[in-house]
Amino acid sequence: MKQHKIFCLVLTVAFSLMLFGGFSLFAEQAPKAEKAEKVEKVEKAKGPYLFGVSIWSDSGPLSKKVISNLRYAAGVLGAEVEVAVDGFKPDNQVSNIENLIARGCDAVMICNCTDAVVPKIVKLADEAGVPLALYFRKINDPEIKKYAESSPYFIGNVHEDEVAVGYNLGSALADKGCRNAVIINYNKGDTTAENRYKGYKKAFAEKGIALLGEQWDILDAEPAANAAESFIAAFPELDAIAVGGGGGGPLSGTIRAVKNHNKIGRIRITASDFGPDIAESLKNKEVAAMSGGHWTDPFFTFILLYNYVDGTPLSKKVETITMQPIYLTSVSEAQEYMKWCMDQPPYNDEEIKNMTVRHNSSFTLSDLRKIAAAYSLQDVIKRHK
Amino acid sequence: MGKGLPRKILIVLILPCAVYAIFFALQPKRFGNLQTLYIMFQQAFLPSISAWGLCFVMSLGLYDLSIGAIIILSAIVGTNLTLALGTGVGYIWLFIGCLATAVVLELVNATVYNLLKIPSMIVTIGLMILYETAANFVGDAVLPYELSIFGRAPYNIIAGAAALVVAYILYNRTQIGMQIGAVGGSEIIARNAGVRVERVKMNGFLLCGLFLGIASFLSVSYGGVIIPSTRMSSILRLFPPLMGYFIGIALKKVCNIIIGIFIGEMVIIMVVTGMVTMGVPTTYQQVITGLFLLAVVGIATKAKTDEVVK
Amino acid sequence: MRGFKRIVPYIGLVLIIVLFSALTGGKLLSFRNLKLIFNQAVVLIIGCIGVTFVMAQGSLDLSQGSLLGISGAMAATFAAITPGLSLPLAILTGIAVGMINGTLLAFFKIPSFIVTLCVLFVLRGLTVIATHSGSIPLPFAMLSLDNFRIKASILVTVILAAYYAYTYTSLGKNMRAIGSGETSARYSGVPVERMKVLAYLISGLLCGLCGWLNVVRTGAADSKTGLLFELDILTALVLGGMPLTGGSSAKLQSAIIGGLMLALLSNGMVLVGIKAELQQAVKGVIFLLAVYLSFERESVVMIK
Repeated sequence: MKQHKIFCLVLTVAFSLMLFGGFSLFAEQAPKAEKAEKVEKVEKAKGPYLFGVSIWSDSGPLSKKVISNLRYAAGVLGAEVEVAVDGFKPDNQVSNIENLIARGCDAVMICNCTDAVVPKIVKLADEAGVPLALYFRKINDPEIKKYAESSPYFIGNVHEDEVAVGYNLGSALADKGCRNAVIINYNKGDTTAENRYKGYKKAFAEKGIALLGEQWDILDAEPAANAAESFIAAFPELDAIAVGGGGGGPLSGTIRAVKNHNKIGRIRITASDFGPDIAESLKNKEVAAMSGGHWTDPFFTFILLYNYVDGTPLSKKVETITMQPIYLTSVSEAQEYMKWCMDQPPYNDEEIKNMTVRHNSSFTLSDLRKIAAAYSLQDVIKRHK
Repeated sequence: MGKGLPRKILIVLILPCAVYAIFFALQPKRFGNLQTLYIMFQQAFLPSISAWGLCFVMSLGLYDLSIGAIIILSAIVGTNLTLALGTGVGYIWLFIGCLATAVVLELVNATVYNLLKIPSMIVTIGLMILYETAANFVGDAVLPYELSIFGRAPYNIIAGAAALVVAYILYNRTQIGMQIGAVGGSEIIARNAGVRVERVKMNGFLLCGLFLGIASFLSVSYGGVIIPSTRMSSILRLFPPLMGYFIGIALKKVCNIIIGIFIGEMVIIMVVTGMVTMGVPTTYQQVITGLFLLAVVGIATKAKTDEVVK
Repeated sequence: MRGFKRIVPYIGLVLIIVLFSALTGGKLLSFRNLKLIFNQAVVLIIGCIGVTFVMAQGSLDLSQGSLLGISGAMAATFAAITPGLSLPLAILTGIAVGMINGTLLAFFKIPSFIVTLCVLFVLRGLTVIATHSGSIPLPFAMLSLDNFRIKASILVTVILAAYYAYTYTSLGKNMRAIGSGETSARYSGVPVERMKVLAYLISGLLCGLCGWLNVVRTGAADSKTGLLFELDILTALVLGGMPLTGGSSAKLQSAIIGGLMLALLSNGMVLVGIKAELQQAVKGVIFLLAVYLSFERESVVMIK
C-alpha cells in the first residue's frame, strides 16, 4: 500500500511539474511554442486547385445541393473540391480544417458552427498560409471579428441577412391577417436559427402578433408534426405557424399536421429552407410564403477563394458579401424555381468562368457583389430564358 | 392474475393519471381538453410500435441500435418503390415496401450476429452506419398527401391498434414469444431444455423488423418526408421508443410489457405536450424528461442488495 | 488462437498505417501529420481510458458525450472569470456526474444502460442552458494552451497513472473481478458498490479533463459539443479489442489502440480523398471486420 502512495505522489508531482512547466514555457517562448503547433500545408505536385469544404452534413436537401453545386462550379473551372463533414461540432470543425490543410488544399471554406470557433480556425489557416473564407455566416462578435480580420489569410464571408428573412416572413403572416403564432425551429443555439427567430419576433412585436409558443431542436418531419398538433390542440386561436428551417422535413410535417386537422386556410405557414416537395407545399396555399435557394451562397465564397488562389484576388481586404434568399409564394413560382434553379445550375459555365479574373480580366469585386445581390428567381430566368 | 387484477390496474393507471392531473392543474384551459388527449393518444402509437419491435430483441438481452437507420431506409425504399409502381392503391405498395425492407434489414442484422458471433450492440452499430450510407445514396422519401391516409385519424389509430393486438398475441400467446421469454430469462437453461437459441434470436430480430416496417410506413405517412441522417445521428430515433421501453420494464410487475410500453409512451408524450403548452423552453424539457424517466425507473426498480445489475 | 486474437487490434493498427501511408505516398507518416493525428486523438484516448474502468466491470457509460459538453461549458464559463479556474471546474463537474452515475447504478440498482442514457439527456439540456443556447468563447490567450507539450504531458501522465492503477493495484483487479463474476467477487470480499462508484468517478474525472482539453483546442464551448462522443468512445474501445462484458480480458491498451485507430482512419480517409459520403461506410466495414477477428468468443459464455 505504501508503495502505491509513493507512486501516486510521484505521479502527481510529475504531472503538476509538466503541466506548469508547459504553461510557463509557453509564457516565455510563446512564438516558439506556436511554431511547434503549426499545421503545415503539404506541398503537392502541380495539378488542379483543390478546395477544402467543411460542411455540417452530407445528407439533406440543403447540404446535398451545396456540395453538388460546388462540385459543378469547380468542374467548370478545372478545380477540385474535397468535402469533409463536421456535424456542426466545434472539435470536428477544427479537425476537418486541419485534415483538409494536411491534404494539401489550396484554400478552405467552412460554415462555422459558432463565432467562438473562428479564432482557432483562422489561426490554423494563418499558420499554414492557406486562405480561408466562411459561407452562410457572418461574425457577430466584434472582438472575434477584429481577430479574424487581422489575419492575412482570412478572405471574407458570404451570408444572408437571416434577421431580415425572419422579419419578411413574419410580416407576410401579418399581411394575411394572422394574430396568434407559434414558432417551430431547429437547433437551439444555431446562429442562423436564432437570427431568423429574432427577425420573426421583431415582426411579431411590430405588427401585433402574439407569440403563443415555441418549440426548438426539431429536425425531422414527425416531431414537427407532433409539435404542430400539440399547438393546434392547445391553442384554438392559433392562426400562424412559422417554421424556422431544418432542411424541409419540419415544414412537411407541419403542413401534414395542419392538413390532418382541417385547418388549411385558417392556419398560415411560413418557412425557410425549401424541402424536397416545394410545389406540394404551395399547392392549396398551405404555405403563405417561404424562403430558400440560398445554397448558391457557398458558391460565391468559392469564387472569392478561386480568384485569390489563382493569384488575382478580388480585394486586398476582408470582404463580406450579403445575399438574398429566393422567396416563393405560389405553385407557378415553385415550378419555375425547380426548372431554372434546381434542374439546371443558376449560373451556367460561361457565367461561372466570367466570374474569374483568369477568364474575364475586367472582373472586379463590385461585379461579384452585384451578381450576388441580384440573385433571385427573376434574375435566373432573365439570364437563361 | 385474477384476484389482484383490479389492484394492478389501479397501480398501472396511477402514473398516467398523476401526470395528467399535474398538467391539468397547471394548465386547465390548454391541456385538459378532449382534443389534446385524442392527439396525444394518436401520437403515442408511433414510438410504441418501434418499442414493441425493440421489445422482442431486448427481451432476449440483445440490443438493436440500428432501428433508426432501418426505419429511415425502409421508408425511403418503400416510398420510392410506391412512386415507381404508380399510385391507385399506392399505400399497399408502400406498406409492402416498408415492411419487406425492414424485415430484410433485420434479417441481415440477425444473420451477421449469428455468423460473426460478436455482441449485438456492436453488430448493430456497424450495420447502422452502413444502412445510413445506403439511405443517403437512395435519396429522400417524399410521399404525396394522397398516399398518406395512414398518417391521420382514424386510420393511424386502426393501424396502431392492430399492431398492438399483433404484438400482444405474438409476445404472450405464441410459441415464438414464449421461447423469446425463455431465452431472455436464461439462455443456458433454455439451451439445455432443447430450445434452438440461434433460431429464437433470429425470430426476435425478424419480429422486430415486422414492427419497424409498420413504424416506418406510419412515420412517412404521418410526416410526409423522411430525410436520411448520417454519421450515426439516426440513433436519435432510437431514444423515444427506448424511453417507452424503459417504463414498460419498470411497470412489468403489474402490467404486461406490451401494454406497459404504450402507457410509457403515452406518459412521456403527456409530459412533453404538457411542457409545450406551458411554454417550458425545449432545453428544460430535455432535462425534465430525463429526470422524470430516471425517477420512474428508479422508483420501480427494487433489486435486492446483492443482485447483479450491470 | 487466443494469442492471435489478442494481437488483432495491433495488427489492425499496423495495417491501417501501412495501407494509408501507401495510399498517400507517405504523407500519413510525415512528422507534421503524425502530430495532427495525435492532436485529434488525445481527447478520444483519455475518454476511452476513463470508460475502460467502467467497462472492465461489464457496465456501460453512455453519458460521455453530454458530459464533455457540460464540463466544457463550465470550463469556458469560469475561464472568463479566471483562466485558472477552468480546469478544476471542468474536472469537478466530471467527478460530480460520475458520482451520480455510479450511485444510481450501485445503490439504486438501475442498469447502467438506462442510468447513463438518462443522464446523457439531462446533461445535454443543461449544456444548452449553460452555453446560453449558443456558445461561450474562450479568452484568446487560452488558445495557446492547445500546445503539444502540455497535451503530451497530460496524456502520458494519464496513461501511466491509469496503467498503474489498472494493472498493479487492487483497484484494477477488483474492477476486473466484478466483470468476471460479480457474485463471486462479492463473496471474495470485493467492495462491489464502492468499486462501481469509483469506476464512474474515474470515468467522469477523465471526461471532465477531456472537456477542458476540447474547449482549449477549439476555443469554444458549444451547445453541440460532444454530441455522439459516447458512440465514438464505444466504437474506439471495441476497435481496440475491449469486450463489452468486461472481466479479465479487458485491457487498458484497447483505449489507446482504438483511439489511435479512429483518429488515423478519419485523417487517412481525408488525405486519400475518399468521398465524404463513403467514408462512414468504410469505417463501418472496418469496424465489423476488426471486431469479428479480435472478439474472444471462448471467454464469453453468452454473446449478447
